[in-house]
Amino acid sequence: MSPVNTNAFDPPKAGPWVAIGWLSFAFFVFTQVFAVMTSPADAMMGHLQKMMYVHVPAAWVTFLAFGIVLVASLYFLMKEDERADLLAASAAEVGSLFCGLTLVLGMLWGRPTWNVWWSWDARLTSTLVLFLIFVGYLALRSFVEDPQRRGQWSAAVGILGAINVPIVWMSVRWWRTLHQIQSNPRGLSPEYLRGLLLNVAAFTLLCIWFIQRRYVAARYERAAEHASQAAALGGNDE
Amino acid sequence: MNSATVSGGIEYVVASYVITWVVLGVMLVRIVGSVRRARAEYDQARTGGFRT
Repeated sequence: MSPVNTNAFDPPKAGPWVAIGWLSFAFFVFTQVFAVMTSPADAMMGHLQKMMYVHVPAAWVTFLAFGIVLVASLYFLMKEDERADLLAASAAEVGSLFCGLTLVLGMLWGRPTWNVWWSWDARLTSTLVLFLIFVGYLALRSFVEDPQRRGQWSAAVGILGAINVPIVWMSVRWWRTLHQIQSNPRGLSPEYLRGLLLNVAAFTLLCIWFIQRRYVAARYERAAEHASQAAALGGNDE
Repeated sequence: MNSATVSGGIEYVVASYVITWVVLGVMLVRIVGSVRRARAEYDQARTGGFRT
């Protein structure tokens, strides 16, 4: 079987993405330093509050990446355009990384505040389930050779995994958890809010850049496969 | 996170930033490397015939 839409066989067009990447990293460094230097110790949390500038943005971009997986997977199932499948896979890879990072950062925050590294409460458990679903998604892709079947199966898993995102988000309201409910930005002091919003913006830029670069690599890999097959068959793909 | 008043714990803050920076740095290097490899692979396949 082969995909109906073979646009993924064309190499991707060059763009200003390298420059955007370096600017994103420079912005990220600035926002991290700015947030740490300008936020005073919290009355309750002390300096542990500063973990908010890495934990919360990492969780946000996890949701963003898995949202992209959802949209791209649905698009693939409707149009059978392999580019959507490659985009979903790129977003799943980056999202899994940020999800794992969110879990580790949460554990580091939980130890001094709750006195435990881990608790099987609804927020932590649902986030772990989300992480495992997308690790399974990536494992599934490596086992299936046929591009169309790989796209269909992984789109199904990707959609299933993305459905877990609102459950993770609402878990702190639906069940009693150690984890606090989502903070209302209007209730946050400006000196904390500035740093948080800047870091959310920086993580978002980095996440989009990672996904775009991974997608470009995947497109080149598919174009190379196609060029090799065309050469082997004596055809000309130029 | 729910907690009573917490003091200290600066080592957890430092660890969280170090881990974040290392993870993002490794991700950057891996992704830039994968784009370069894939592009070289494509150029080779296009100009140098097929791979085995």
